[in-house]
Amino acid sequence: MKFLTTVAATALILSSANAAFAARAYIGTYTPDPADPRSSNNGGAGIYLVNVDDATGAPSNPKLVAKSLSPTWITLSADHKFLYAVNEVASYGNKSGSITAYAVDGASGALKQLNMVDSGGPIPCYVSVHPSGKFLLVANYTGGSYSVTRIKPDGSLGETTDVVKPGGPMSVYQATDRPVGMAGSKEPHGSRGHMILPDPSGQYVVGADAGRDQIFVWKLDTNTGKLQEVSVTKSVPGAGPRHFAFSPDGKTLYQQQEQDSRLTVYGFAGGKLTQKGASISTLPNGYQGSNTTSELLIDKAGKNLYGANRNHDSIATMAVGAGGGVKLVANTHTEGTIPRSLTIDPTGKFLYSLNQNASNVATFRLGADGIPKFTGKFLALGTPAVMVFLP
Amino acid sequence: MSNRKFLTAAAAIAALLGCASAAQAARAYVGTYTQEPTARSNNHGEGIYLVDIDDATGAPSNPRLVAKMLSPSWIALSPDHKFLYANSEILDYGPDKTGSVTAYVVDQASGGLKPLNTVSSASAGPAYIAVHSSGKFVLVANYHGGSFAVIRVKSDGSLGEATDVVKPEGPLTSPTASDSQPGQFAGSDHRGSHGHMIGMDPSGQYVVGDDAGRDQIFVWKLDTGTGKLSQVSVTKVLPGAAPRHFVFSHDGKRMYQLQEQDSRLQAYNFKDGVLTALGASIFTPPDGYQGSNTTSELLIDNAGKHLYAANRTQDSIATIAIGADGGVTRTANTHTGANNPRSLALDPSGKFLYSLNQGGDNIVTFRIGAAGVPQYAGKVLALGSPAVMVFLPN
Repeated sequence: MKFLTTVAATALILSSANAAFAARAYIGTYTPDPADPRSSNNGGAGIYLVNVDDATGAPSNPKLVAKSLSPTWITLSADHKFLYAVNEVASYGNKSGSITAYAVDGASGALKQLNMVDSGGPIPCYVSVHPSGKFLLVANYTGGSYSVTRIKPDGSLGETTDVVKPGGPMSVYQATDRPVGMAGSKEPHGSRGHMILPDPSGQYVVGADAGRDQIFVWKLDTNTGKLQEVSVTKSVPGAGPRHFAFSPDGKTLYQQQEQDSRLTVYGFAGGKLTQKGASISTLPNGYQGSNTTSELLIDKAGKNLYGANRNHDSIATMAVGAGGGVKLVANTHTEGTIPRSLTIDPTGKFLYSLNQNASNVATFRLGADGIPKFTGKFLALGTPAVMVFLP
Repeated sequence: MSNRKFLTAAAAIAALLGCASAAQAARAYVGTYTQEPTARSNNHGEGIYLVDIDDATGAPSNPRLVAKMLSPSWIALSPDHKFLYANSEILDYGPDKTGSVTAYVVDQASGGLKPLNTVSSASAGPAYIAVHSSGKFVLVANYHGGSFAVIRVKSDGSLGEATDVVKPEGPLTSPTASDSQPGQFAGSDHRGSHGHMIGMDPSGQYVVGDDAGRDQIFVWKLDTGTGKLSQVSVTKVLPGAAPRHFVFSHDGKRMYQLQEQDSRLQAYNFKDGVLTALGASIFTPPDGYQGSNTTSELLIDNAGKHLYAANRTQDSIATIAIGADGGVTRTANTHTGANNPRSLALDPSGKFLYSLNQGGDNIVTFRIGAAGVPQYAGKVLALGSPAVMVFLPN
């Protein structure tokens, strides 16, 4: 009898533990910044933790776990004990942006701030952790720079070990292959660091410069924290290379271009990019008018790419062929305007569109054909920007 | 005339007719938001464009600028479509810092517009314009200035003096509606009155005005001698709901009111100039929608069986079926194909629907399919910051 009671009690504890470990994710949002009046309409307040229903994929119960200025990109350390967020502002220190380190409470999902440091330039918009675990990589959009910041053994952030700030002539403001009627920026501009990420082998670090239309490949010295340039690949002038994704084997890089809404495929070997075939549009045939792309994801199998179109407000499903070539197979309405990013859950069954201007997260199911189907599930959340699952 | 000569002549006439027929293919005017020198704006239009419409596909093409002007965000034709009137949705016309209204002569053959004159709209930021069925007055709703104005139309089609300006006052209502969906961040300004639409009922006896700021619907009678509006009724809408655009059933017995802030549609019975709510309001985005949205345009089809409402931010066209009792049920939501639909237009045949996507800088064509639901026709026309589209009858 006592034994049975103990078993029942154990079962209860296990089931309760189970419930506690249902899928969870962090969502970073755009927030008002008192130093920037243009940000006053942002509806977020920082980083939120949401529960994700295993069956429906629906996120729910958003809880603010870190009040923070515009944490528009976040990433976890390899052991997911630490979370790093950019603060996409130009009001830190001497008109710079900042990055913030948090310790993750694995049980509750709570975040405890460790420290905040300069990001190396204004408006940081992307952050990743180097596979050595020793450095944080940041792309600064308006600052037009890439920075490397040392991660201390306690997870907090140390000194900036390198800042790469491309120079050279300005690029044109409109790409020749943009959609008809695309109303883009009217001014030539300097570099815009939009993404920085190591390749799957961990040997290289890649940076997309959406301003001077180029893709950098570096090697990181994991002692000094210095980036050494391996190659620079020029995009179509004005194309605005923004986010990229690697094939799982690391041999192919897919580069999404913000300003002409196109995707270019590159072979990746020895740290060098070699274009394969012509770029393709992420928009339906015959689309005219304005659009900018934002996020690009690849599924686990490496068979489908998902590109986000802002203004057309769709998720482009692009099938990867046997030769690594890509083909647009579908455009699915995001159900809310300005998808800032997309996320696939760890099981690969669900895809989320973070609709910045609609202030919601829309849930899609990925079917056998790889095309996202809207599940009817919305979660209201002010100006969402990025979503990262907590393993 | 020999037989041969006759045939040649017939062929020539046929050729001429074919030519004339091609010249009279459907055409439409499109008003756009433009850059304003004195305001911070990021608009991409330049004025009023004329487009050709393909009868078979419905696709608009070949946009040409026929009137360069500041932000003609609403346009209307005179009943004989010899004149076109457009408001400039601006805040700095003349010493009183109002908006303006411009009158044009329509060249029926070319579709060209010749400006006649420009007058003050009586208040700032006019957003809607209609020509009274008498043809003697232009009715204007001023959004920013919060007023409704009546402007005399002279016999040559040009605009005369403002014969009346109604500027509602009284207590403010609420900045948000109690029945808004969760996560509604988009606001409708409620710091004062906002004239958002003014139009006539089908009988032509009444003039109706939406005040999206103080959440009320006015019904007036217009004295077609003096051009003065006399109030018949005022209907209060849910505080914060922001009544924006309305349509009447073709028999004039019902009025459907689209509410901008809470994305809901309310049906009313309309009798003797008085509105009486018919059933509960319905939500225009998909079921379960959370997050921001504001509605914009509302249309009714030729048969009076379907309403089409535009959702901005969720970016869809809601198809709403009208029941035998006049009640309404939302039956579908169709992606507009780009963001921020400022308005919708139906072609005269009722076969095609157009979404004027202000943020997308394009016009997307839909074919009205089974059950009245718009189907994307694969036709997109680039045009900067489009706001309104009006067909020019042949």
